[in-house]
Amino acid sequence: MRRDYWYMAAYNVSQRGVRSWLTMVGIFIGVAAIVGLMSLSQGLSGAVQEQFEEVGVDKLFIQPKGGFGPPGSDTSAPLASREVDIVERVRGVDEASGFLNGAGKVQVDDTTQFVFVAGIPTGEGNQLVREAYTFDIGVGRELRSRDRFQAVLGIDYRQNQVLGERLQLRDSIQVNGERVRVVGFWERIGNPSDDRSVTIPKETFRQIFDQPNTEDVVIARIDSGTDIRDVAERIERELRQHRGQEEGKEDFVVETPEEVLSSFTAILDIVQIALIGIASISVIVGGVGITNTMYTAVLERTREIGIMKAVGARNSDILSLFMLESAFLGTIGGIVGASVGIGFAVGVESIVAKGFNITLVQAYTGLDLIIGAVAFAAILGTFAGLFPARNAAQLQPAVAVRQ
Amino acid sequence: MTDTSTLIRLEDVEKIYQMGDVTASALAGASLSIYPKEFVAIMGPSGSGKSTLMNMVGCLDTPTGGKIFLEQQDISKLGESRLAQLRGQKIGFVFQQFNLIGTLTALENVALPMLFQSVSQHERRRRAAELLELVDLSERLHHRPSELSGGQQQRVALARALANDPEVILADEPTGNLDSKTEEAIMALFQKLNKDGTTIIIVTHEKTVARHAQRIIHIQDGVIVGA
Repeated sequence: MRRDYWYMAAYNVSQRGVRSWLTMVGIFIGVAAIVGLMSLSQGLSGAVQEQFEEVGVDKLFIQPKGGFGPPGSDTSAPLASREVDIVERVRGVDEASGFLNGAGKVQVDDTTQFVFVAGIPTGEGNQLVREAYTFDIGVGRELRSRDRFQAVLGIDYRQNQVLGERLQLRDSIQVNGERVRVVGFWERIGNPSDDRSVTIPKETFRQIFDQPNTEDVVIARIDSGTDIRDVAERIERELRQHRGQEEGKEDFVVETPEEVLSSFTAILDIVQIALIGIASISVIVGGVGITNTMYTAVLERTREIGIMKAVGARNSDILSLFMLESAFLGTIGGIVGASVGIGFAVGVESIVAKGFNITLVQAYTGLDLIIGAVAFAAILGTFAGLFPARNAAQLQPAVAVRQ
Repeated sequence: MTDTSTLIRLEDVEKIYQMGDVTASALAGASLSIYPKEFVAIMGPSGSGKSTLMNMVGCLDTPTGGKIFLEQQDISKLGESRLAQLRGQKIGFVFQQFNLIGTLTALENVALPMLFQSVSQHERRRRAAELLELVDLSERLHHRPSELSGGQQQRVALARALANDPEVILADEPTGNLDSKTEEAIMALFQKLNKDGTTIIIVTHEKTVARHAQRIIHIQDGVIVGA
């Protein structure tokens, strides 16, 4: 394509001023919506995936069967502590351990909150649970095997006045009426429920919550070199036998991190497809807007086209000029749209992070997304101009010049 | 028909327009020859087929019958792209309505025909400025048509017609929108160009314009009645 034609097309677009901008608005809103949504959903699924990768791919999670939700949120048919031994004896299982969690009342003086409380093993099984429980210590120390009424808290207790005042190491809080002493704070995790959680030794949890013989989640690490699916099947079979349940009617589930991840990403994918489908409609409407503008331009400039043909422009020259104009509208709309979309996603990320302390919502700002969106808008613009440009090219010069 | 010295030759050219079921004949077997360096006026009342004749001579349209030769090449069956090339290289147009592009400056208007002949931008600007100087508009290079008088606009159009150094300049009522004083100035320019060797064909119905020509061709009801 001749460089002069690019200049000329750009010049013609700029000459139409407001009308060109309005046409581009049609494209840029759609592109901004698509880019924004893709940026956020890709960022989110990336963040989820990262979290699962931290847990490791050599672990199985056994939980009571329930609806979709965070581990342990279900109250039906808990696992018995004895069943941890059954799991551990299954061929291919290296080690198994359980932990407990639930909602508890925490209190300092007169201020109370209901938060997520976890009971993790401090002696045997601590390492395994800590591997799956990926929080890192930010201030103070981890729970030790001899700890009883000690607790590690989410960072919000230290940085914000969750319980009336900012807590320090060695402060005390009450968990369901029992006094525990703060020995550490986790690093910021990024979601409010975890950043306000309280982690105490499992035995203390059993006592406070009166849950002597059950486990909320059992984690099993498999021997290296064994197939995780085979092990999961064997665990299922053993627990089924132990519980006297038929296949398919178990009240527990054995999940690999991959399975948990894929159920997350499946939902994300559906949401993403639905949202982008809706946003695509507006892009298509924007494309129709370009076609409309270009048809109007051809009508208005019939004489100009006639003049250009009279002075030697071939049909292909006219076709190129008009398609370039249309491509310009699409491309500029795409560039503005992609910028606005990325800006929107980054804005949402920062609002969610600052306002709600959730770092899981991350904007994806990869160049592939931006270039893809701009290229898409450029191609759309070019195609939107195809028919008007063909009309322009096929005008009879003798007729057009006398319009 | 072996005359090889003609620049443009029409042989029994017919043009029939089809409008729905109705046919209208604009040219009914027109024949004429135009020689290099001639200054010819084509005269006729309105509806006589003047404009259609000009379209044929200027490769703006193709005939439904007969043949048109431009420098011995039969152009009556050529496709639109080839005709566009011929127009660009060999013919310069001047219209009654000036037909300048309103968004472009005088310089850009004059440079436009060269754009389609792949002349470099630098050369286009150089030659356009030179041509505008020739028509005495060096002071108006960067003015848009709306900022120029009718006579100035027509001079820009003349400069544009000369852009690709054409064999022939085809002017359709070039002074139809101008007062008599400006008409004289424009006609003087045409004569100057003709003296320098450019073939000029003017379509007009005004005797004051036609008298500048060496030869007057009369057309009536689509046929040449006197040359």
